[in-house]
Amino acid sequence: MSTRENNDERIALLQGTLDLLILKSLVFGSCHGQGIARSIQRQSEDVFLVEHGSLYVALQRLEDKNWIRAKWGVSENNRKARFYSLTEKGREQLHEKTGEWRRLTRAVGLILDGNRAQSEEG
Amino acid sequence: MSIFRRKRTAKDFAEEILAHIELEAEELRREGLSEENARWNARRTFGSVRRAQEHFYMRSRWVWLDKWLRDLKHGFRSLLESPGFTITAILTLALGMGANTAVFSVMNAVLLRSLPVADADRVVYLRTTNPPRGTGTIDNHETFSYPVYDALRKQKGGMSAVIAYVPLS
Repeated sequence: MSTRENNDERIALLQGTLDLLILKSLVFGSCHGQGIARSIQRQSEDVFLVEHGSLYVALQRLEDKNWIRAKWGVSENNRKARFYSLTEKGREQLHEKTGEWRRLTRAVGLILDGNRAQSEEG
Repeated sequence: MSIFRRKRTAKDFAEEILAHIELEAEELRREGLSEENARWNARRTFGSVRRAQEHFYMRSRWVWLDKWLRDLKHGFRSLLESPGFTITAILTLALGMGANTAVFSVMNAVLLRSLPVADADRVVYLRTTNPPRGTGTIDNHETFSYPVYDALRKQKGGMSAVIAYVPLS
């Protein structure tokens, strides 16, 4: 498999889930884009390599929906950065989307496991 | 409320991207990369800056369109809520348009299309400069006496045919 195909798979996987991961990473306080990218990468044990550019596409989308709000501030190492934080609406959405995601992965898991049982039988 | 939120400028977004790359490079330096490598890697993991900016631009356009559509929907809803006003407005517009169309149709048929000529786009309208005084019945510049008309009609080469008309009033 070429690297190009690898990249495509990664992005396709992330499209629906990136919003959720961003909301989750903001639960414990505000953070700038670079910090969010790092925290997603770290917490997924480096499985998700978020292309930082596409992160901003998602951040804009969330900001437009009023799920997060942003403010320019100063980072811990004294650099100017735009800090994102969850809004009340964002918090609700995180709760809702987490439930949705759990149901989705469970359903997909059921189907995949079912298929395996069938092919083992045949 | 999002309607009252000030629109974010592309410059502000560009600054955020720059800040991001700086922060990432700094973190990479702390992880032990050389100055040059850190900078290069920070840019590489960001991906295309231009694409991000294009996306930002397109997105703000879409938001604009979205708001416009919402305004339109709101307009229709308010019209539905006051049917009396809506019906009056529609009837007024319909009558106005209908009357205009009717009058124009008559004018078009009677005045514009009724000229008995083959190539309507090659018709010229004759007027004179320096007319002799007191010869015209209505307007010295646009009225010709019959002998002049007759002479024009008989002349060969200049025009294929000459017609004259008598004004209704």
